[in-house]
Amino acid sequence: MGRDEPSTLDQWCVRGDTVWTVSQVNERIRDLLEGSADLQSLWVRGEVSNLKRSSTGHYYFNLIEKNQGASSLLSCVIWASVARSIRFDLREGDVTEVSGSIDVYTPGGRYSLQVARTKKTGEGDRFLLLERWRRELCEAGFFSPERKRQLPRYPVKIGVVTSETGAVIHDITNVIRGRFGAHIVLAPTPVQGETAHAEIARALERVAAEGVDLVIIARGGGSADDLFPFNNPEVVMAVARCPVPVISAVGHEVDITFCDLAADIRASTPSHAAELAVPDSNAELQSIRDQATRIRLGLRRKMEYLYEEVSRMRDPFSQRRLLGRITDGRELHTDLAGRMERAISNRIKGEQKAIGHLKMTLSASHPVLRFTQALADRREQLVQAGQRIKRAALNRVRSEKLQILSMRTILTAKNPLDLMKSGYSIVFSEGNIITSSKQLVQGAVITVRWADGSADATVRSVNPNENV
Amino acid sequence: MKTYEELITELKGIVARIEEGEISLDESIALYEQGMIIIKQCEQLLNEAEVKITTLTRN
Repeated sequence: MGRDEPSTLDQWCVRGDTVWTVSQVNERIRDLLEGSADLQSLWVRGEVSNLKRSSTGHYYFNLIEKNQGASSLLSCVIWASVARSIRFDLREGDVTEVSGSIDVYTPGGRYSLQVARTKKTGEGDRFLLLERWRRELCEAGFFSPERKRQLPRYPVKIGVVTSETGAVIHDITNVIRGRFGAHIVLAPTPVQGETAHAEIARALERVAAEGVDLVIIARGGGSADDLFPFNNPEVVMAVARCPVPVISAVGHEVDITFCDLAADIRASTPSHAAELAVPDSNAELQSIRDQATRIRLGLRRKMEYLYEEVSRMRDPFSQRRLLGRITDGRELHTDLAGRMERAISNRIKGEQKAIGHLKMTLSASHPVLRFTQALADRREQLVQAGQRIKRAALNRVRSEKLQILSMRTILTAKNPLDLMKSGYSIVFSEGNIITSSKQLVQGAVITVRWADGSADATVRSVNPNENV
Repeated sequence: MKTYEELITELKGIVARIEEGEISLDESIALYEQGMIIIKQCEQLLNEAEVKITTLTRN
């Protein structure tokens, strides 16, 4: 600037003789404003209005102040490069505080606040990030219901991914201890901070390698910022890759992270996760007792069934039925006895008839009076024999009804007619029946009798058998 | 030593067979005895169960 040129606006006004160019004025204003320390790095409060995002990623808005009808307006800009690196959440109508420096755009003669930070940082940016992650993870199928695995019913080894300090691991341990025995393998990890997501993912991988049956990934309640690592795709992918089912319990029930969505089951709190992980031993004991009851009942039913079956089978042998059978047997016995008596009586009649026949035969063949006495004796013998037979037979009937056949054989054997029929004959000498060879001498005259006749003969020689 | 899960699976198999009823009395009694042994083992496991904690080192 030359010596003649005014160095201040006041001088310019007073002197009035120097004419400035537009750019000279704007540049002068820029120098003044941008050189003014209190307009650099200042905080401004105002209401967000007319918020716009350019295609290149810059954000433009006004901060306005309304005060009793009068209003003031300050143009603000967040350059794309800044917008990418800070988290911010600005909405139309929000009263907010932003920090930045006054910048003058000389070609337009305008000044604006170039924003470097916002008071309420994070959420807007995070919202956009979350939206992107959600879209990507969803497309990759990490949240799909088909991925969900069934939890093991009786896990022996349980992996836990959480901070080793704080209430979470204690809650989980206490709940599990109160329910069921298990081996808890804790993979400690920071659960918030800039690198938490990577550490959580690594802890999950580490604990999965320990041969656990399931993994609980848990964190207590906190701000959305605190829970943010659990939305990170690195954590989500570690959950999806985990070879065993994962229970996720991050924050309070209202907080839902992508980790929760990717897990096989979501628990509302760490304690709830522990409850889902193991059964309750009291309920198990009850269930076991139920099984015992069922086994006992099963056996009892079986025995009752068999008892009924045995009763059914035993019925034919019941006393009543047996008595009936005895009566039947008695009747049969009576009947048999009657039949036997009749048979014997017939037999005796048959004997008498045979005797009559023999007598007739004897008297008809030869009038041998000497026979008369013998016949009478014979008849008497036969009658006596008949009576003996009858007695014997009756005794037999009384004692041994089933031996009738053998009895018949005996009877048959004692029938002299049958004996004669089968080749035996009677030898007489001088009117006597010869019963021994010793009764005879050489030259004796004998008569031999058969049933149907006789022959006279002379004994040529006698040969007694001394052995008989 | 069988795990609790193995014992419970076995027990349920026994209950199913004994309830089915298509087995002999001898078999029923054998299953009953077997079932009672398993139940005792299960109860013992439940009563003696403890919680053990191992903390992995960070690397």
